[in-house]
Amino acid sequence: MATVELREATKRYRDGTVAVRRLSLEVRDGELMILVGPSGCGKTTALRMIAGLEEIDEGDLLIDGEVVTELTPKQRDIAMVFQSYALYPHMRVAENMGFALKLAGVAREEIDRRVLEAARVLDLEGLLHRKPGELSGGQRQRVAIGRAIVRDPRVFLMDEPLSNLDAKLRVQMRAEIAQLQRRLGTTTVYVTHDQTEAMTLGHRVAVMRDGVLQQLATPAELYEQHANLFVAGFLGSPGMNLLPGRVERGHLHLPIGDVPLPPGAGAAVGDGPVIAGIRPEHFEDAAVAGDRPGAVRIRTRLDLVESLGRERFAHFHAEGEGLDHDRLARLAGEAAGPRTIVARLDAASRLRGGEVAELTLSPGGIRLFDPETGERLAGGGGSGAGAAHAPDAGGGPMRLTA
Amino acid sequence: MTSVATRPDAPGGDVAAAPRRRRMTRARREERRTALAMLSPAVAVIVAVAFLPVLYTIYLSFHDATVTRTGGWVGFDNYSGALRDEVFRTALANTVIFTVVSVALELALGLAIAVGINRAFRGRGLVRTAVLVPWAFPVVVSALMWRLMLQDQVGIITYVVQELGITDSPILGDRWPLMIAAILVDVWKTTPFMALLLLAGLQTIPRDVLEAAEMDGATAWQRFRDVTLPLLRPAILVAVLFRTLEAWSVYDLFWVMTDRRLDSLSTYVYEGVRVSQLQFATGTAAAVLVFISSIVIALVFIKGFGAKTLQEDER
Amino acid sequence: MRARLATWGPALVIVLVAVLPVVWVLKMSLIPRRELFRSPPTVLPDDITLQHYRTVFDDPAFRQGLVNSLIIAGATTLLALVFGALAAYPLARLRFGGRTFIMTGILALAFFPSVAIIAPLFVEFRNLQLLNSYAAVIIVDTVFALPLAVWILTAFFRQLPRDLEDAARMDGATTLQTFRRVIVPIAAPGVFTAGILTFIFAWNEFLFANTFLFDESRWPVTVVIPNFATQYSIDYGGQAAAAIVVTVPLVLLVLVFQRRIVSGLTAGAVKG
Repeated sequence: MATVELREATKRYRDGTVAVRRLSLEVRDGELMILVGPSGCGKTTALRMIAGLEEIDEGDLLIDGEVVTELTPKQRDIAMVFQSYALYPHMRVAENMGFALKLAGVAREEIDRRVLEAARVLDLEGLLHRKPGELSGGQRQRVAIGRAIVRDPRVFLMDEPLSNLDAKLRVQMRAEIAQLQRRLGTTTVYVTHDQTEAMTLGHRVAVMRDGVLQQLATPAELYEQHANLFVAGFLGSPGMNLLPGRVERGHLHLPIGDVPLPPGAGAAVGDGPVIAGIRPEHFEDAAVAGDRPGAVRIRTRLDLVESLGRERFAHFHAEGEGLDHDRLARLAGEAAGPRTIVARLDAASRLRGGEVAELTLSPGGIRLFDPETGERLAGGGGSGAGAAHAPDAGGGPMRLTA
Repeated sequence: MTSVATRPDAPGGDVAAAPRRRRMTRARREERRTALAMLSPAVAVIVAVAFLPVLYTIYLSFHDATVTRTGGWVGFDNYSGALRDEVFRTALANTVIFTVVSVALELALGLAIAVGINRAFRGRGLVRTAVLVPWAFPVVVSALMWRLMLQDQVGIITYVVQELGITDSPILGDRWPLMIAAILVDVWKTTPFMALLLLAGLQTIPRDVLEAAEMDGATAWQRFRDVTLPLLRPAILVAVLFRTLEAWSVYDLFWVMTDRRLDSLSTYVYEGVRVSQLQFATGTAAAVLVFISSIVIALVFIKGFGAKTLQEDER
Repeated sequence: MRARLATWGPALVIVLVAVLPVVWVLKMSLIPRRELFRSPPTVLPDDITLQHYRTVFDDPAFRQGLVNSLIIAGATTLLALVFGALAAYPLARLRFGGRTFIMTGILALAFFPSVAIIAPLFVEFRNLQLLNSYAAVIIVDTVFALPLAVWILTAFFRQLPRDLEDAARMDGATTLQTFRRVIVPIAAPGVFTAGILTFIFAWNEFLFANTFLFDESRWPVTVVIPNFATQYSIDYGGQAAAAIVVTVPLVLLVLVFQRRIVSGLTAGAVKG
């Protein structure tokens, strides 16, 4: 039973680089909070700051409302599962799991009892006398988790615990971790770079980039209402298509055609240049979709169509000028890049590469972003609820620059 | 805590401006304390057994000291005494010749062996084991073994040398044959060490650099001279520095090999302070000279040739 | 045939140069006195005898020398490993001021001319009544073995995965507990390597033993041997046998642990 709160926590390295910048984050009691972002975004550093393995240079960490910034890991009563598992190679499984209790001076019988109990939960009973070197990857992973739960700590920290497993095992363990966490009800902070893990496991998800929190929201909110271009580009696979556009009198002019904005939305945004984000699933083959109310039709030549069985991806490109790549890279990170537009089509679609096709586009799915700051612009559906720090997020007049 | 919302900073903008409040957390303090505690036994014995005695040697060298008492202040008398001593001057000359010749030979041979072993020829493992054998021997034993081979009645080398008509006199009699013999033993014994250090350096040179040079049309010799040698420079400097200082304080080889007929600086000191205790004071002055000259050699190598110090691998 | 000679040639030359003297002395130790003095000398022994080895082992000073060497080298190895590991861990991993300074100080010792300190140490040990005791030699040998031990151990500790130490800290271990219960067991191969090299160093040490021990019953073999050579000055077979006996443990160590020895000697040396 514990809450964890970071207040304006900053971590600087000796050379002056800032790994985590003024991170404020509150993890509720019993919550499974995900920290997600590309490598180097500071998520692992943030986790290690909570653990007490990295000092917090500025700001504070509170557990259950009590400042623990200067306490050692031992005093914080936190357990951690490492990406490499970090099992002690010279100790048997039982010793690995009981090490913390032994150090804490718990009686032998009590240690044995608790190790056995945890082993039962994790299906490790038959392996207690093995050494880590004699275990498979999945078994090691369980031992690492077992080592954490044996202690019954206030908080679990998990640093990419599934990244060393093969794809099949990863899906299975993901479900098990979710189940275990729900059963134990222990407050958990979980770091991953994998957005699927983030979206399926997290009660709430914190997206980070370059040491700065971008957005903190539930998975559903996050997918629908991105705070900025970076979050938009980071989530979803394939990622969101980003196109240069211009709003004029309630209409959005895009290189692929003109789209009317929902009433009110256009006014909220105001006239001027924007970046439009369109998810692949907001396109459809006009022949399959039929006449949807409000849908806009576009004609284009498809460069390539890939079939994935249940769905197809059509690649095409827009005529005219694209976005300034340097700026886009700065705003959207790895989601930027010289690439074609991707549309997800129904499996029933018969379109093929090289053909001129007619696609529909649902305007409700279009998200607009400020081309200067990358922040989400109001309009085009939903407000920026949950945006961590977006100035003026959730509406208001936008600065328009020519 | 304030609840004022902060605007996101421009990337990298506030690095310099932010207050640099470096916390010394409890964990950090504990770490520091433990570190110093763990280091203290080693540091204590090193200071007590090596560094303080050096200072004491320097102190003694300015006094009319004997083993039992410090005696009165005599300024630089002990130093001038040593420098005027014919035996000291011979020892100095011997040490210089021994150091220069043996280290030069060891470098040349060590380099050849290292390059040879690095070019994956057959029997590498065998070579590695074989070259470690002389390295692992006590100097005393190497000296004894070679003395047996150089002995004028039963020595195989003496027999061969005499059969070939190079010399008739016993090798272990005169200064120069003794010196040559001492150098040969040293070369035999320590070239392996040199070769191993150089080999470790060679193995860090990426193969593709050499292949690129080959594509550029460089001959094997040019590749060695223009690519391998410059890249190997740090390893060579460390190895040569190490060997030079070791040769400079040569003691047991001269002591055993030459039956005390050939003096080095170290045997001179030993004679003075340990054997004939009448020369205790002169001996300490000579000891200080050995110490200072070692520092000078090290500094010349480190500053002059730009050798990096060994511990420069801070993360 | 010629190609084979070219690939084996360099190896053969090096091996012969390195090993032939040892083999020749081995032969000298095994042939009877008569044959030893024969001219021209025999290449292969005509006769084999163990008489010289009997001479060596019948000499009480030599037998005692082997025991003394074992005591001195063993104790030195143990002490150097304990002190060295304790010092190497903070140097490899912990954060504190003055790390470079201390590391430089310890490594500088490797370049230290031993004779520079024998006079004051002799005086000090005399005052402490440690002259002629194992302790005097063990203490000094330990100090001069430390640079090598610290150097090798630091290199090994640096290679260990940091996660294990973090895991131990999360499990509530203090730095010392982490060191003792996690680092040392895992670094055992490195500790072992440092141990072999320290042992060889201490077994071979001559100057300090020759300086601080003057009672024959305390001498290690390195001091006994030159003395033995003087005492049995014309028993060349006996001298050869003595040389061989002393080197047998070393040759065995080299044969069994050559890989470790090489890795230890070159540990971190390439970074310079």
